[in-house]
Amino acid sequence: MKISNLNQKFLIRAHTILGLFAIFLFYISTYFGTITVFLPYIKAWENPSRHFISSEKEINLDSILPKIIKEKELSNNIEIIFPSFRDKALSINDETSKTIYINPQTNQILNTNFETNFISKFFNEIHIGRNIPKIGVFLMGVASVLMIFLSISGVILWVVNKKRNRKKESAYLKWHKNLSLALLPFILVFSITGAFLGFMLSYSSPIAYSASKGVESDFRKLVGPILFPRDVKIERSQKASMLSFERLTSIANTKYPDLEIKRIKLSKWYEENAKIKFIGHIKDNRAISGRINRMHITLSGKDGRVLNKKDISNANLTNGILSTFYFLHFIPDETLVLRIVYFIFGIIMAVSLSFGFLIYSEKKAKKNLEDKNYYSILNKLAMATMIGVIPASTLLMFLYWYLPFDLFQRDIWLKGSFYALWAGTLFYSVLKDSVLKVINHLLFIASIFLVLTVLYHGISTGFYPWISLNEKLYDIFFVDFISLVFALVFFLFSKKSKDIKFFFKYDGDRYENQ
Amino acid sequence: MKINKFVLLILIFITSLQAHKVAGIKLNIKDLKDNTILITAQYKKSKRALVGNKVKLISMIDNRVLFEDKLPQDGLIAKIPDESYWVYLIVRDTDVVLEGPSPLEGFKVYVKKEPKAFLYTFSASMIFLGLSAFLIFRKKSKRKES
Repeated sequence: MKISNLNQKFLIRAHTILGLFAIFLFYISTYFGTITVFLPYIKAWENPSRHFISSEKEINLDSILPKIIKEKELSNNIEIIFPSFRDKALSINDETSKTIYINPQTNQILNTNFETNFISKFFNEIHIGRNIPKIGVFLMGVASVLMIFLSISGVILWVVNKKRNRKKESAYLKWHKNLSLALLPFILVFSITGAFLGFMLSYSSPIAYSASKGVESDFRKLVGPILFPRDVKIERSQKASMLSFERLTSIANTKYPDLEIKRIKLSKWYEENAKIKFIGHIKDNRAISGRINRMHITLSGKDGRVLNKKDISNANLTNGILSTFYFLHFIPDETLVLRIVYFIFGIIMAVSLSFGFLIYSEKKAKKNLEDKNYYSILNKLAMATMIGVIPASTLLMFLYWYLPFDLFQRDIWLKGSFYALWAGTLFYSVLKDSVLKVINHLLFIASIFLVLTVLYHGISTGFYPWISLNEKLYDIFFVDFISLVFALVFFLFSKKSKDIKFFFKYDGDRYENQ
Repeated sequence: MKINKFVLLILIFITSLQAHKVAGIKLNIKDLKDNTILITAQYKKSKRALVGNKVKLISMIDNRVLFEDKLPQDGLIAKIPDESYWVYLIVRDTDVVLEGPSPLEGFKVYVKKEPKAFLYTFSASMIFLGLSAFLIFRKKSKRKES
């Protein structure tokens, strides 16, 4: 592939400037996205009510459901979600009331008064940029679009320079290139899905407007009814008795043997027209029947007739493609192994992104070699965003267990202290000149917070790591264990980094270039 | 490279720290002036009233549930309790909260819970940002002099 010198210069310049714009947002998104890979485990860990062993036994709905419907006066559209690795409890709710969670082993209703999935929700919010009001999601979408450009231009630059450039390149450039190229499919999947979710869905009004010949400019309104058809409204009818859930489930299983039932929806239960809808994924094809393309079979509650059935043959093709696409981003039904792979990829990607920034920063520092008072604001900002976010998020986890659960405005205290510490790290990195010292101190603080998190999780719930390991609560133990591992890594780094040759140049008042 | 760094800064740190608001739902409390209140709720867009959702009056003092019932079609009438309280409207797994009005002769037990969390944490963040901006400015101007 040939490209003129001038064009190559333009391309490098564009890669640098757009990269600088996208890197802050995309790093934040990558960092929190990497944490939220373990979302199901964090959810179990942050809710004391879920500190029980998940049960393997079949759930007998007939003994639970009629009682709860009567007691809690549940009305129309009752939804039952079966326990899975995402949530160990059986959940039941209707259109208006709070979800009821049940321990499937003891059939007891769980006390979830103060449980709001705060940590996982908040991290997810930052991941998609929703913490910045109005424009946050849009900005993350733009960053994803830029990321697609950066990947493509990066590949072009690599192809062009492969033969021409044989002189020694800086370590950052080398590793930024190698890591990014190795992760190219991963990065592309995430930036394309991210761009779709953050940018295209909400900001494609011109396309929607022209496609619908000027009738509608909201993209969601156009595709929504086709991709996610609503259930038909059922008229009120006379009271009637229903078949047992056991019987209905066995009918569904024989009529649709491939369906792995995940949830059940009851409409107008205990009436003539009652419907029961079994929803789930196909046993040997989880990708195509992912979260937005669930298969289902609907039976009549009174006599068990099949009213409606959706399988791959009559599913919308777009749904299948979208589902596969989303599957790669959300990995909804996958358990630990794939999640760990994604986690490692995420860390590598964050490292590669930060190396990309360091290439720019080194170059700039080299240009200003003569200037004794050289001072880069962008460097400080990068330090606060990339390293500062670590102590801030660990502080949030620590305070989550440290603050009493019935504290007034608990959510705001938690979020507020997260931002306050984050701002504090900016101040600290501006104040101190030695780059390595700042990194060491921030990581040291983070490791202390992580240890305190595990300690206070134990104090608050009684489940210290060794207890949860003994009682075979592996998901709870897993989160504690990972926290401790990272605490150890951060601690060792902060103690040993000044002896590593690679970091020598940062151990001083300013960049000393080789 | 002329990215306005402070715009970036503010973008990164600004946040909306408001809990207990469900977008699109409005909770109305009307003081009927006879020691009762009329509680209604509606969707903002369609103006349709919410029916069947649970309403709870919760004490500010010890988070006790003082009263709870389901919303009927034309609103729920509840007696005003003797102590400071919140009105909670449950909308599936989130809730809308408003402070309840006092009875004619005032609350017997009164506490004022001031929302300090936002003020304190927000000002702490702003102080840090301001100090950083000040330091950056000083170092930059020093560089210009030399």
